[in-house]
Amino acid sequence: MEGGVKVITVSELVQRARPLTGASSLTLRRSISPPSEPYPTDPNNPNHPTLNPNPKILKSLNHPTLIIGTLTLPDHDKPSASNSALRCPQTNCFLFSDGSSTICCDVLDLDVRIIGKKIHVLAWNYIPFKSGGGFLEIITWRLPESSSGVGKFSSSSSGFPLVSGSSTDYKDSHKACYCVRGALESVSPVSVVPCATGTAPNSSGLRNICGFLVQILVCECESCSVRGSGKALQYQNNHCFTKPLIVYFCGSASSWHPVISKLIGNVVMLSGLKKKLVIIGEEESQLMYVTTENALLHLPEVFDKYIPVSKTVIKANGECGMYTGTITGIYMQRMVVELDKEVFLLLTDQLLTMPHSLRVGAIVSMRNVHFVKPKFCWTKILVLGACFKTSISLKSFSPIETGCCTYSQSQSLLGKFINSLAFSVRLWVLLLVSSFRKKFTGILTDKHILGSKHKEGLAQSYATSHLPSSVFQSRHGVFREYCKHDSCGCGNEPNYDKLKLVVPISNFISHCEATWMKLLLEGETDSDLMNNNEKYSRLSCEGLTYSQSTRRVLHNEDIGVILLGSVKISTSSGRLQLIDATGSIDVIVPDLPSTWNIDNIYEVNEFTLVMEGIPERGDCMGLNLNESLLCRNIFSCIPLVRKLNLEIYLLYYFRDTKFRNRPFYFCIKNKGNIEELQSGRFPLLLVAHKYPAQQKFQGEQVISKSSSRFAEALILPWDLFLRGKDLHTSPTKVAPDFPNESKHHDASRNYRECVPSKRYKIDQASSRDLSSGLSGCGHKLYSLRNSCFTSTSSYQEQKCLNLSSPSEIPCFVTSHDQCLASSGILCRSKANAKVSFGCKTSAHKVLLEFKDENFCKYELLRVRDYYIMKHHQEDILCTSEDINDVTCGKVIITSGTHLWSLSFSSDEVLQNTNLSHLPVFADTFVSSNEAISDCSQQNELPPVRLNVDCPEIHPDIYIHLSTDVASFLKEELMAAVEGLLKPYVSLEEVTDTCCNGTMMTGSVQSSGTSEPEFNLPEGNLISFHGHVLTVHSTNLRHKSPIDVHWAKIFQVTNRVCIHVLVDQHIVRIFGALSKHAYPIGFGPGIHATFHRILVVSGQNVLFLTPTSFIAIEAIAVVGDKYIDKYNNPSVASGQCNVASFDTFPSALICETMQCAECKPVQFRCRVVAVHILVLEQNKKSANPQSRLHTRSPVVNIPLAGFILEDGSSSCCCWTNSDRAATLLRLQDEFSHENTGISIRGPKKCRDDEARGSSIHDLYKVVEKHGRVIVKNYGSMFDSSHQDLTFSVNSDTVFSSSDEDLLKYVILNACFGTFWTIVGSRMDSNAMEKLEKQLTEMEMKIQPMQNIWAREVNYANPLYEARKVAQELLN
Amino acid sequence: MDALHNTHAKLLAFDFVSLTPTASDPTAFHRKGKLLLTRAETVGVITTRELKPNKFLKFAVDDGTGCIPCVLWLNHLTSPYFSRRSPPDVRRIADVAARFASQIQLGVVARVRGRITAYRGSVQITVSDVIVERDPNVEMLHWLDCIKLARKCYGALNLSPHDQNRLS
Repeated sequence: MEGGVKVITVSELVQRARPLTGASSLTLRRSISPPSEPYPTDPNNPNHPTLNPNPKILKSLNHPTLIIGTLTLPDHDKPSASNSALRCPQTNCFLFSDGSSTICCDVLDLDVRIIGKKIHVLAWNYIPFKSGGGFLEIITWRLPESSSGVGKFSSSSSGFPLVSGSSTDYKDSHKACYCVRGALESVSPVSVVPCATGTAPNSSGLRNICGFLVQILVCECESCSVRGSGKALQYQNNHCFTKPLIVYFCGSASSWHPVISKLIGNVVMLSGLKKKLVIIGEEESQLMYVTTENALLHLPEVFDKYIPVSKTVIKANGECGMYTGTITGIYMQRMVVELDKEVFLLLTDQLLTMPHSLRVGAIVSMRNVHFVKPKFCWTKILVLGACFKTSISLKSFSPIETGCCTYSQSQSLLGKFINSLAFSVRLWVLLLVSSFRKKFTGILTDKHILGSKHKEGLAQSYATSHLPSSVFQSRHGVFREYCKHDSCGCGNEPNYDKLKLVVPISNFISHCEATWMKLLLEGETDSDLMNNNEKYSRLSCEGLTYSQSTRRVLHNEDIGVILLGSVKISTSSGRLQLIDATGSIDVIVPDLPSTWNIDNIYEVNEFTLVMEGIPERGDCMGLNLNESLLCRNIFSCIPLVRKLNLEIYLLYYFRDTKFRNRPFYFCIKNKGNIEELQSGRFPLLLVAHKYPAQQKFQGEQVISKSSSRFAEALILPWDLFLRGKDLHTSPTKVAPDFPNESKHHDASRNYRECVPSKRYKIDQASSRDLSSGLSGCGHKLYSLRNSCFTSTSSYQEQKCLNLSSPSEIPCFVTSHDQCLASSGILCRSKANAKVSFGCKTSAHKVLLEFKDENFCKYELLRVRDYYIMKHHQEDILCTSEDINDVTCGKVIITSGTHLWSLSFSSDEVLQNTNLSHLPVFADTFVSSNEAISDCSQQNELPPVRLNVDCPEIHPDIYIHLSTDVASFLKEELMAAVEGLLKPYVSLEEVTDTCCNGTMMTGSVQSSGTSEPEFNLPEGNLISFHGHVLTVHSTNLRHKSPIDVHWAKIFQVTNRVCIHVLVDQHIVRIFGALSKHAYPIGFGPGIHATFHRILVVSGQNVLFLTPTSFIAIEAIAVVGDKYIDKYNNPSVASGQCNVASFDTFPSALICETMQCAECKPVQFRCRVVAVHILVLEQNKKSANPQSRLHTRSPVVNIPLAGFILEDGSSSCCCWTNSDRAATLLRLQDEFSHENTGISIRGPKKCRDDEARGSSIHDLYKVVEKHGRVIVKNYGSMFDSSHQDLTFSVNSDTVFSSSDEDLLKYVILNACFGTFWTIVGSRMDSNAMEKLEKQLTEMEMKIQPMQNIWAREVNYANPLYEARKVAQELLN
Repeated sequence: MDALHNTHAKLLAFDFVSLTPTASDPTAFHRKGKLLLTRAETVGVITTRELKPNKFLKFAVDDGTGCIPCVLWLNHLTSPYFSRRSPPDVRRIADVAARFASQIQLGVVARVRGRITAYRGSVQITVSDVIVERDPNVEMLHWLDCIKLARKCYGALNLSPHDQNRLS
């Protein structure tokens, strides 16, 4: 006890094993620099997801304390002995001992002279190790008052012996006569040179040598060059430290590593050195000074800080420099240290032992660290790469109770792999490893992911497959890399910007939410003269307005991430999802193959992300839009919390165009179920309907634990018989079903020969002779023989013989993946065999039931596609003696049941193609594709089909038939399903049905109760194609009887109203609000087929029933406002026209003059001239690295005035941003053919050259001048007589070529076709603002009607004509 | 009807050819003795084409109700009319006109805008711009627009029995 201060012993601290601070005993006598920033907090963002949002400050003892002990250096000679008690695997820590115990420690303001002395520690932090023991952070200390004090330390000239016990007298060591004085530049980590042989190091007398290298910059002046002169230390001024020398601290001197590390940047002198030529490579040697037993360290009285000639700006391409920052996160076993929330320090090398005090909250300074700014498209961050020259020193200890990690890193194969990479790639791999561990927790073991010492893990093999070989750098060991630092490629940072980030799905979703908000916030910054607060379109329906959801579409190249996961059907939502251990995201995979395995892990490289929701202002609260968060969140463990009510889904193809979406990891080797197809009988099915997931009705327990899904199929009266193994793999094998089959196959025979063609002759008699009973099935079949090909009578003849109704059709069957190529026979099924020839046979309905483990099979089914099913003896399709038994029967699809999709291919097409591109039969009899193209034609919408931009969606197998047989079969099958499968209805029929109820595809019967209010809605079920214009929820404020019914029956108060464009007319379908009732991606802009929609009798109302099924046929993957609409006018034209017409009335310009109100109306008009045009650089897209704006316009138009006319009058139309760009036809390179004007000017250029470059040229002009104002002082009514003047802000000259370009842009805009513009007359406020802006630009308002355009679209002539015709008729 | 003075009126050919020059203003034309028009727009099939290189292109647009004679000047580089304007501008206009001329081919459906002028006692369009239309629906839309504008904006459309027959 001294002065009320309690003395605490080290053993007490160790026993407490709790983090503590003794900083309260700080006295004013010694000033310390407390942490400048206790903990980085962001007042703007209280919800910032950090590792620990409420960091605990170290607990303080409630009384002043003092620790008295001795500070010593580590003993490298006896590392095991000294450190085992400390439980510290490091051998580079200072030690602190008070007799009771010894612990590791670090000193903030180290005075070398206290080493080995007893000191009083006045302020300290104690951090226990998890494994026991602990670590003392000495903030302030003083010498005991009884001692001689600092001033009486031994003088600097005597120096400090680097080897304990040796003489401190400098003169004694003159034999080791070399002395080095200079600025300490860098220190290498301590490494061990293996000298010992065998297991017993001492037996040979050789020991492993511990040591580290130090680079000192010395002065080459005369006084410094005096050999062994120690006097130079006294005269330090005017020296120029430029020449690098290397000193090797070896043996016992290596224990000085922590001290030397702290002296970096100071001028020191080392004496008692030997000069040695050290071999550092195979043939390379380096002259270096080596410490001897007599080596001394001399320090000047006053530390003379050496200030290196440092660059003020570090270019971040691998250069070395110094960085000081606060630690905000430590991840991946201390391999990644996050500084200031935005910089990542990589400490991947095992030899880089960093101080224990490297804790979250500490302020650290790194020297000789490589600055790397990777050009990844997914983030912009600064990476600090630590190499063997890097050293880290503490500027301030962390006051936070953060754990002090000890090293547990083992040199695994993965570790070596990481260290062989450039720093930017190291970060990528570390993120990958972190991501993999999060993604596959519980799916794969850590060992599987990370690998072991001898086996490559999954993360490594994945990374290797994505990295070019040039990334790998060979490592050379500490000596070589330290001495030949610059030539070893360290810090050589090539650009690997193509590397995409593998993200856990939870991170991806939160990133999407942040991106969504970012995009919305940016959208709101656009100024608008009309004060349009409502940035997002609203629509009116039944006199009420509804917010319309906003859609944002991003493509994988904009996001730069890769997703890995298994594709499963969610048990909760029933939707197809990409799943990993962190979360799931809904996906649309149009080409889901039957080989899809729910246990496999798939890599999704090419995708389109769609986000859709109704934006709300408060949404961004709690969302951090910082991009570096992506990395941070991957390293840290933050559970997914969905903050926004946002629909997020991906659209991708299993087989994308570049084959970059691929199975990545096979849990089970997928043999493919084609093997099942070897031989046998396969009934032919046509899927008639898919029932959606059953909805849970309130108060009813409809869904049992094991839920089922149902599909309705028609069993067609034709079966496929396959005769055996394919021709390619085992041509000689004969299937058991074909005992009499010829055993002499010609293996080289082209499969084409097997296809019965018009030239293919069948000898009726010989065929009959060869007929054989099919074992197990009892079917009579005519087998195919080679002799068939030489037969004389034609197939037509055979057809005639069979009364135009052959009961067997020979065919050839191939699978898409070439695993199968076999001849087969299509024959009438058993029951139908009884039906006499000429009599039409019909299909029979069955219900296919899929239990939840087989939902994937349900998912694969497409309505109105053909399938074959594996025949099993026991199944209902085969066992029933009478086919009538299976009418409306139920077939349970088990995991053993296989369904293969089927397509018919006729031989004519086949002749011209090869096996790899087997054609799909042009119209697969009842082709849904055909119907869609009709639909799209009617709507004049570009069919953004689900299979656009992807390889053709292939069926599993193809049945090749000759043309005449195919047409016969088509007729047969059509006849078979007649009455059971109605064709899709057109709008006329829809409306007819609405009125007359003539279409009957099914009906819902009355419930039978006499009370009218309990009657179920009654009517017909119809199916039709349509284009969804909008979907909005609607409440039942205005209750109609139907609403009341609906509410009562389905216990819902809200419902969804879907506006569908069918055949240029809008129909409204009402449905339940339940999300589960709709497929993923359902929303405005899709083409969908609505199956079994209820038309309520006597009312013009369509309802979705629980059995209605919506199949999305095509999705317009465009954003609605800022993104793709801008780029793709043709897509926009179709969509937006139909979307707008419902909302706004049409008017002539002259009519608006008489109208007092400023309501928005729709005009159809042309541009005649430009009044004023302001162009400026779009700051959002100024940075080419900005990944979110790659699709936003590069040229921003804050204000533009166009003179428009529609034949009735002219007006001046004011608008801005993308609408102005549309009117200028900036994105419209493809329609120049209309005017023949090349926007690039008179210079002749190739078409493809001009495409896409006009914007670029314009951007260059704007970039050069910043802001360009174009004013027309000439005619406002004659395009050719505009007198355009240009003014710019910059001092640069507006060149004639710039002028030419802009004039052509404007002329091009004036010679364009007509637009549909939604606009309103500008009110007095807007006019005032406009006048002000124009006055600033020295322009006047034209004496004509001024309107503000809020929407600009290409007009659809057909639609417009219909509308005008309707108007004229009324 | 000042609003219409500088507007390209959409007129069917039979209507257009009945325009009469005004005594006071050589650029303005009367429609049915009342409405003053200076500019017009038509859509139709190019039925005649007569090119005088570097001078003019004369052509006719048949919209189904009649033919409208049109002239597209190609003499910008030599005409004194353009001498006041800057040579690059004149060259640009000439370039554009030459391109329009190349697009005017027999049988194509074109949208033509221009000033109404009188030539040898009949009215014609002195073309300012041409768009070759590819969508067949635009022709129909133009007819409907003409009828609508005539009804709503240019005064009642008084069709002779002959015209009515032609339109129906």
